[in-house]
Order: sequence, then C-alpha cells, then structure tokens
Amino acid sequence: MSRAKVRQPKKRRGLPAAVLPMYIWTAAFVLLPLLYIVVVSFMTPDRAAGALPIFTLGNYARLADPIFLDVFLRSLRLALETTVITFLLGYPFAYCMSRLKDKAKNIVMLLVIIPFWTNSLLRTYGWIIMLRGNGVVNTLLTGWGLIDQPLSLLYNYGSTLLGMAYSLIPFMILPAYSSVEKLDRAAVEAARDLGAGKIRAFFTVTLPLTLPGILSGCVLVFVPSTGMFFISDLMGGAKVSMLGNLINEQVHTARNLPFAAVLSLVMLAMALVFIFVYRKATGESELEGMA
Amino acid sequence: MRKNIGKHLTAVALSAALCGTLLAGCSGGGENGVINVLTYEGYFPDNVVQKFTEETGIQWQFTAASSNEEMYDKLRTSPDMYDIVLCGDYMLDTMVQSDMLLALDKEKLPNYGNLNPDYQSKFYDPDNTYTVPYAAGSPVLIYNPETSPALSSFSDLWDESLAGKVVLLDDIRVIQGFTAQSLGYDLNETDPAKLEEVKNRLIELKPNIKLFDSNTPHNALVSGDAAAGFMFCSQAATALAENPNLQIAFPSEGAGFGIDCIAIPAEAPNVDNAYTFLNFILDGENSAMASEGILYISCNQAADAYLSDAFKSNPAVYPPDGVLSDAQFIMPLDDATTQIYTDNWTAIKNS
Repeated sequence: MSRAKVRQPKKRRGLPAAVLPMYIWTAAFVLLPLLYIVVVSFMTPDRAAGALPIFTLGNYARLADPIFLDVFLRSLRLALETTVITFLLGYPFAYCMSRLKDKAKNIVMLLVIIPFWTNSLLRTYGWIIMLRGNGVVNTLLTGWGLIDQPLSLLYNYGSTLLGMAYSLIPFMILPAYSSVEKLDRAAVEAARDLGAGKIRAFFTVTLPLTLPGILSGCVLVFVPSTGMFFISDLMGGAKVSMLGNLINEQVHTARNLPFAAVLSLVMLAMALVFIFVYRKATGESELEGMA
Repeated sequence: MRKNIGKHLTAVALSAALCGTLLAGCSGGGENGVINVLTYEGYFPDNVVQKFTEETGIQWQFTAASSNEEMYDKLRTSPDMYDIVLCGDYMLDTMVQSDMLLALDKEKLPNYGNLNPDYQSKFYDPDNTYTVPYAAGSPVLIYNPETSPALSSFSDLWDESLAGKVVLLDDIRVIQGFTAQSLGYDLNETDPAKLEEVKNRLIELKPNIKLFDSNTPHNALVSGDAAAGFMFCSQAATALAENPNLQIAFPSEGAGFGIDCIAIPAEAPNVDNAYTFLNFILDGENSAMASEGILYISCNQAADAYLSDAFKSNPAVYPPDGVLSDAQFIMPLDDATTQIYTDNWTAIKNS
C-alpha cells in the first residue's frame, strides 16, 4: 500500500554532483540560520548590539512567566481551531472536486489557486472592506431592511478565525484532493458489496485510505498558523498577542534578540511535535501531495 | 499528468513572483545617479518626489519601513545602502549615540536658514549637527459626536458608554505613556510600581477597545466600527477629511510631541545627492507641498507663505495656541524599563 515500501532504495556511491547545489542551499539558508538562532538564544540580551556573547540560560527561564504561557496557549488554540475548520471545509471540497469531470476539475483547481497570485495582505484588506461597519455585507443587509444597525463583524475572534481559515484552506484542499484522487474506488465498491452503508463505507474505507492527505494538510495548515499574526492584527484588531506578535515586539521594540530566538525555537518545537505525530500516524516521511 | 496541474500552477506562480523580485532589483540610475531613501510609505508625497526627479535628474529609490525600529534595524544591518533616512526623534537619538549619522555640512545647504528654530535643538540633536526637522505633530483624541460622548481628556476614553467602540494606536510607548500622564505620572515614567498601575488601568480599558492599529486607525473611525480614538494627527486629519463631522480634542492632561527629521547615514553611498535632496526639501515651496501632503505641522518658516489657509486652520494638525508649548517628547529609556513596557503590553493584550 505505501509507496515507500515498494520503491527499492538505489545504492549510492559518494555524493552525486547533481544534488550538491541542494546541499549547499540547505546548509546556507536552513541549517546556518537555525544554528544562529540556537546560538543567539543562549546569549545575553543587549539593546545596542542585539546580543552579547556571554552564555546564559536566563532567556529560557523567562518562558516560565505565565504571561508568555498564555500567549503560547492562545496561539496553539488558534492554530488548532484553524486546522479543524480548514479540514471540515476543505476535505468535503476536495472530495467533491475529485468527483468532477476533468474539465470542471481543472477550473475548480484554478479557482482554488488563483487567489494565491494576489498578495495575502491585499486579500485580507479585501475581507476588511467586505466586513467593516460601512462595508459590503452591512450595506447589503441594511439596504434589504434585514437589520437596522450595522453588525459588528470585524475585530473579534470569529473574524480572526475566518481570515486564518480563508488564507490557509488551499493547503488543506490540495493534499486532501491528491489523496482522494489516488483512492481506489474498487475498495469502496467492495465495502458496499459486502453490505456496508454509504456512511459506514466512508468511515471504514474512504477516510482511513485518504488519511495521509488529510494529515499532510493538517501539518501544512497548522505549522504556518502558529506564526501568522498579521491576520489577528488586521482582522482581529490586534487585541491579543500571538506568538508571532511577541517575537516581533521582542526584536523591534524591546530589541531582545536572545529572547526572540528562544520564542522562535518554541514555535519550531510546536511544529516539530505536530510533524512527529503526523509521521507516527501515517508512517510516511514525506508530506502527501507535496512530494 | 492532469492531476498535477495544481503543482504546476503553484510552481509557475512562484517563479513569476521570483522573476518580479529579481527585475525590481536591477533598475538603472537616472542621468545624475540615484538616491536611496528609507522611511515610512508615503512620507515623501509622490508629487514632491516627482518634482525632485524632474529638477535634478536623480533617480528616486525608495525602501519602505513600517516603524522607527524597523528603520534602525535596516540601517544597522546595511549601513551603506541608504542616502537619506527620515525617522522619529527618539530613534534619531539612538542613531546619533551609535554614530550612525553624518555630521551635516551646512555650507552645502543654502536653504538651511529656512528652518523654524522652534523645532530645532531638541534632545536628540542639541547642536543641530545631524538632523533636519521635517514634520512635527502630536497624537490627538478624535470622536464621532453621533455615537460617542464629547471627549476632552485621555481619561474620557474609559467612559462606560464607549464599550467596544475605541480605536487606539498599537504603540507600546505612546499608549502607556499617555495613560501614565492621565494618572498624574510622567509620559516617560520609569518607576516599575507606577508602570504596574498603568498596566492595570489599561486592563480596565480593555472592554472599551475595539481595535489597536498603528498604520490605519482612521479607517475604523470612518467605517463606523469605532466611535472614538487616539491617533497621530495626520491620521486624525485623514479621518476628518473623509468625515467632517468628526471632532478633534487635545487631551487635557497634556500633549505629547514628536518631530520626524531627515538625516544622512554616516556611510551613505551618494552623499552629494543626499545634500541635493536636503536642500530641495528645505526650500519653502517644496516643504509646503510636502507638509500639505502628509498632514503634519511644517517645521519650515519659509513654507508659511505657501501653505493654504485650509491647512493652517486644520484642527487635527495645528493645535490651539499653547498646547504644544509644554508638550513632552517620548524619550528613549534604559533596557530594563523598555523590557517592563514590552512585558506589560503583552499582559494588557493577554487580558
């Protein structure tokens, strides 16, 4: 069933020249910056220089402060809720999309992807124009006489969730779609022939077989949501601090680079835990639909 | 093949974006070279920039920053990339302390005498060695009389009738500073116990707050999402232009004051062009054009003749006489106090 087991690993002799640029790229733009963050996280904060090369564990000790714990929990909650919403909307969407005729499928796929060509900040401002006090939605509703006073649709937790789910849903749809496409319909038919109802066949056959795509989508939505803060700032009214805000404030206002590094590592740890769970659950090392 | 269309489209979109970025990076210079400018978006109005390019043949290359802190970071990491930096008073102080700015040669600035001495010799540059003041202003209260009670002091924002209706600058120092002032403390309070009181006072304000926004707070007021707010004068003036019914008030507890100045970084690559620009912007007519564009108080005496009456009587820009005479600056603070301000802000946002 799993592709990884079917594929025979090729024997490698030395380092093929063709992949060398990739290793250099990874070392220069992934490993070194990461190493830099780890080193800075143990340095002593200094406003003028950014960080002084004096070893300290004090930056990590500050994590115990309850005000930061609140921020972690809030970011985690927002990321999890965003993931659940994108799954609830994105999976049925991907499922239906895979049932379309080829031509319609391509059109729908384009509609999912085209908004990506616009800057995400612009799309967020688009939502603000729709939802604000004198925005499109309120103008229509009052115009039709459905409401007397404009509704307060912006600057609350709900609008933050809406913005997050809207921005990240393609990351759920694409891998879920790739998984549903690969699903062997014969397996579902066999379940039906053996007497399973539509719902039972879905939960015992379709869902487990498309799980790699779903989980891969969850990783792709969850990981960026832990760090995304411009949506909570713009659509949520910046009334709460997210992990991303905290890092931004530590870098720019407090100029405490070491503590910002510690917070970045916390964010990285949250993502790693999530990816670890993914790999345990699926036995796959690569993300479905992205490999 | 077909099912991979998504992946291909994503790849095409990403490569297109990359090409765009690369192309933007390789533009040539004008006939008289280039000038690299670092400041807030729109802080040198388009018509002023256009006039400068036409008159001098120097090509304008602009880098936008969204805060003073960001400008400091950019200048620190690439000190030889910018010819002109325009930023706020307390950040200039840090830049002067860190030897990041060039001592100006006034011989090269025939228009230097146009400056209004009221806006010179401030704490960040007592001998006027490094900076040319460009714009001044104070944050103001602004409210919609149809949905908000009349405001006259900063403490009025705590009024119960304003529940969920207030927009505030998302600014750690300004908001905590003014709250301290409204409690009878200093705008630059450093006593941790008093800052704790400020924090608790702001937590009490939380139910009234609709949103924090530093960049476009006027939008929420114009759209009706907020009924009252506290924002920089240019933002209040923008709101007033869109909705003339809005009312402006300067907080009775005392005004805050800020001056944004132009400076040349110590390692600027095109110093001559930077002087050409400084002298251009010090000209009365050009300076007036810039002030009317950005809606801040002009720091140039020669500009007075060119400023329209409508601008000079704009209540959001020009406060009543005497308001600014005892106004204080937001001053740079030591590391430990800055950390208290930042952590208290997180606690306020958490509440």
